[in-house]
Amino acid sequence: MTEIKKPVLILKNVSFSITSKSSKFEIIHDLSFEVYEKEFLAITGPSGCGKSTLLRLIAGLLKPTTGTIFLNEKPITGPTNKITMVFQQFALLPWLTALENVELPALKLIPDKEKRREKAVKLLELVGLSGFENSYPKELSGGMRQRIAIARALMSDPEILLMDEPFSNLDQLTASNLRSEILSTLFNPSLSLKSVILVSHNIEEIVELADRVIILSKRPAQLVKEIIIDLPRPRSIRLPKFTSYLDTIYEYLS
Amino acid sequence: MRYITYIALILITGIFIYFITGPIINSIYILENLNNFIYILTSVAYSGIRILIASAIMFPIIMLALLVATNNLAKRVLLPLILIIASFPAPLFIPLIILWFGPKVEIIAILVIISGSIWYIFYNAYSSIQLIPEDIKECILLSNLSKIQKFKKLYFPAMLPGLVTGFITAIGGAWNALIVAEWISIGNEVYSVKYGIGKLIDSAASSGDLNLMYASLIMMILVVVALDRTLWKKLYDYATSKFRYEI
Repeated sequence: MTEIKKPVLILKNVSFSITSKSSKFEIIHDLSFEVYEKEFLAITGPSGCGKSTLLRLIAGLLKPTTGTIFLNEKPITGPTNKITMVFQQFALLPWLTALENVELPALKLIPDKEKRREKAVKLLELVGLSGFENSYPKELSGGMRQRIAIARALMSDPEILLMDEPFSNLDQLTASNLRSEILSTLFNPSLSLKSVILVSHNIEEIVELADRVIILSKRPAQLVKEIIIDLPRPRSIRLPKFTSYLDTIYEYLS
Repeated sequence: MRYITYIALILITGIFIYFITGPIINSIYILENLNNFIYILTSVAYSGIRILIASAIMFPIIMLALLVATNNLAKRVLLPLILIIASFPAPLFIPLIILWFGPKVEIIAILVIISGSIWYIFYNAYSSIQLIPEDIKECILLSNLSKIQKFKKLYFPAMLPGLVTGFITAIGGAWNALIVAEWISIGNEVYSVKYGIGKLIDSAASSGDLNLMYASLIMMILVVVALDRTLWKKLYDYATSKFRYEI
């Protein structure tokens, strides 16, 4: 996936700090990088380094203290339906059915009820949940709940999907099943999605999925290293090259 | 030592039974008379309607709870103010209400009920919104919904368990507040509604008709317990099972 590199998202000298009465905590320090079309980018770093904060800055939920984030050359000033997010704890509304949860981001965007429903049904089918439209989240397993959340994140035709540790709350087997399907789901030709940014501390997950990984330092987060993972897919952990990528990332992390 | 405990227990139970059977038997004599029974039941019904009207008027307080819970400026300005107002005991408002509305007993009764129970609803609704998980709030922000859509899909359902708890507490408190609300004596003036269980208990107590007071009390207890076991329990189970966050 490395033909013509066209950046979709650009971070330019982004810093973020929290100021309280007595002190100032810098969480992200002067971070610049680009995310390209049809790219699966992973971001990793020591726990508490500000990875999740970085995702919230890109999502427009937080504003950088200095620096700018551009989506298609336009600065991001707040939440937009072109950038959506999948959360660690799924963030589903317990009182809505699977279908209603998926419809949520399109309530304003697609006012036509029929069209909206049709699209939500299609997306649930895409993530393998046909037949569970009218189930409530609590009736479903963790893996199924995260699939609903993925379908919901795709509902507003985003260009960028942010994933905040999306597999870490699932058991091993469920997580590995979902990982093995996720690339073909997200880069399905029927979708408008251009790039995916995954925040994770699971190195195996990163080498299995990502085209490129950005390694951040301890707080305040700074760019330590960028590594392009050039492996054919599907990737197997048994390949020696896979393990050598694991070792390299691990080295930069510690 | 052990025997003393047993003897004490038996004595206390005996005294309790002695004191409670008298009023119960006397109450039954009173309630046996159909006219009395209908009179007391009518009084309970009138009081119930007052509580219902008060509840309907109190309902919009959830919008204030929503504002305070979601707007930082409103929280800083209004929350301390609400805390102060809520700490006033309800009877304190009675002279003010008479001053503003005149001696209209029905309005006084309903306003006293409201001033005594509205904050239960406010605090329960407020804390329900505070309990919404951070990621769900973020997801709603990313969904770009209109204010009405946010209210329908997030805030109102999120408030429901708190609202049910709030209304159960508020209405429970309202039955007690009736005693101050329906029969008020200030100086030589007595402001009293025509029918009402609070009025009945109050006037019976002050005229020394203890049997009528016990009969009214027992009737009120029966109605409150019956409501609690049927309506409230069902509502509570529904609200706490469907509207609970899963982690």
